[in-house]
Amino acid sequence: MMLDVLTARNIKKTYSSGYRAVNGVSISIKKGECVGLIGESGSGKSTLARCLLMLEKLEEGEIFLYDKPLHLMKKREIRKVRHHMQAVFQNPSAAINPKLKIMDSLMEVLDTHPEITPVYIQDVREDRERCAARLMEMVGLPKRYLYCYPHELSGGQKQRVSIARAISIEPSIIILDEPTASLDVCTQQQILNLLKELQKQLNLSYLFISHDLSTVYFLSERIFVMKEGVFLDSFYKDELFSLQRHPYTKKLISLFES
Amino acid sequence: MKIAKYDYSMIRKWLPVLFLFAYVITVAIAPAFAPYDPLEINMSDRLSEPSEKHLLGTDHLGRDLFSRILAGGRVTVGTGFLVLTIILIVGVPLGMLSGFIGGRFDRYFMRIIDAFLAFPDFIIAIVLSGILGPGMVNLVLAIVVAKWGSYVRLVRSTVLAEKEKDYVLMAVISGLPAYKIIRKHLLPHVMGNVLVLATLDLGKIILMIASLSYIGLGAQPPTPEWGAMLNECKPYFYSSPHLMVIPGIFIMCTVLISNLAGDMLRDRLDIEK
Repeated sequence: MMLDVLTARNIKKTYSSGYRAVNGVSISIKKGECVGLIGESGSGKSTLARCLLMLEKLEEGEIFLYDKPLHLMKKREIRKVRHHMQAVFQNPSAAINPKLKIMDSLMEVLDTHPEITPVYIQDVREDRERCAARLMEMVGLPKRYLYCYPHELSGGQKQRVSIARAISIEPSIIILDEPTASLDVCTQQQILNLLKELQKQLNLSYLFISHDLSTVYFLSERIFVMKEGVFLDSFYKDELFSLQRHPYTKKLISLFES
Repeated sequence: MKIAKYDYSMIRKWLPVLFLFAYVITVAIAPAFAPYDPLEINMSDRLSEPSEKHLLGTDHLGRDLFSRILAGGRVTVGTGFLVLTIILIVGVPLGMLSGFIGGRFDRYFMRIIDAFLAFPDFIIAIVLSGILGPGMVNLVLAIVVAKWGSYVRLVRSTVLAEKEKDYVLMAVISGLPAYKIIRKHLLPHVMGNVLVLATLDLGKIILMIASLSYIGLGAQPPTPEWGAMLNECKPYFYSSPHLMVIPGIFIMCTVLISNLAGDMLRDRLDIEK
């Protein structure tokens, strides 16, 4: 049996204020699969994402990257395997350092791990500039932006740079935390199409987090519904309209149909 | 990595700093052009008016004032620069660490800084150099202790604001070790603010050195130093006012230049945001 890329069991996270944002959640993601996670604001989606990325200290629970237990690792060891999990965040302007040229932000992961050479940049790995240009091409940006500063790019372009950075190291999984939430409808659709294309092309695994049912439905094969720190419902995409859905899921569907 | 086109906007932005730097260098090499030895006493030619022989006249011991002004600039401005450099070397790393590590270390450390900032810096400097005794080394120490707190504060608050941003998270996810995150992502944000504060402060520090030397706590005679020169020539103010007026004008101009440069730099960096 093939191992799941990412397995999390019984994740719990309480903030120092005493608020339990994530309360016993389990999830597993297969290679090449896109898992959607939908929930309203404050349902604990982003906290779960941060927990999975090992950015937060877990209160309880286990996280496995393939068979490696991340929750048992020391900080130094985690840093070495961290690049297997990449992320794209909601606000592309905050995710790119405004004082660095696009090139330097884009190449950050590859610069940090000179020993790793993804297949799709194998032939240009030695040449930093051509490497960056190849990545820009993959997300549909002209390479002249490489020497620009982030404020010279639009929101959608910056999000493409974020995506290029995430795919640059050929990660096992990309956690997409509302990557389209701050974009207009048109750009949203372009970014979603790009993500879908890249997934097919590179056989990527996604955890796609959103509060928008239609985008989750568009991209994901499996969907989890989250509310108040727990999963209320989980189902395959084609079961969305089945009668056994949780009342909360039905409520979400009716909201998006109207 | 090649830079595609040369970025002139950077030069324009940092012009005030370059200008200030040029001024400091000029002051530093000026003593080489002094016509007389600034320490040479010539009692037969004391308290003379400005003339062809002595461009700015001579003081009560017959020393050439122009030579003393040039030599004194190196002491006054050079010490100011030294103080500033020490403050930056101490303050910037400590502020970054405090902001980056956070937690208990940050809390306790900031209370110590609060204690330093609770007193006006001039009072601390006077008290400290009073306790340590007169002399340039003690003066430098006293001003550093009086001034470093505000730099730690500034750096820490900048780091605190920046480290919560997503791009720092992205760097963590990329597997960058902490010291590289500090160097690559946090330092550029800190440096702009710190340089503005430093150029604005240089004037104040020079003024402080001159004032402390004037009240006898800094440079000691016969060292030529603008503040100490004011002090030395005080008894002759009515008969030869130029002995006090000229060093005073030089102090004023230096402070003015540094303040203007600081203001300009602040404006230019703000426009970029």
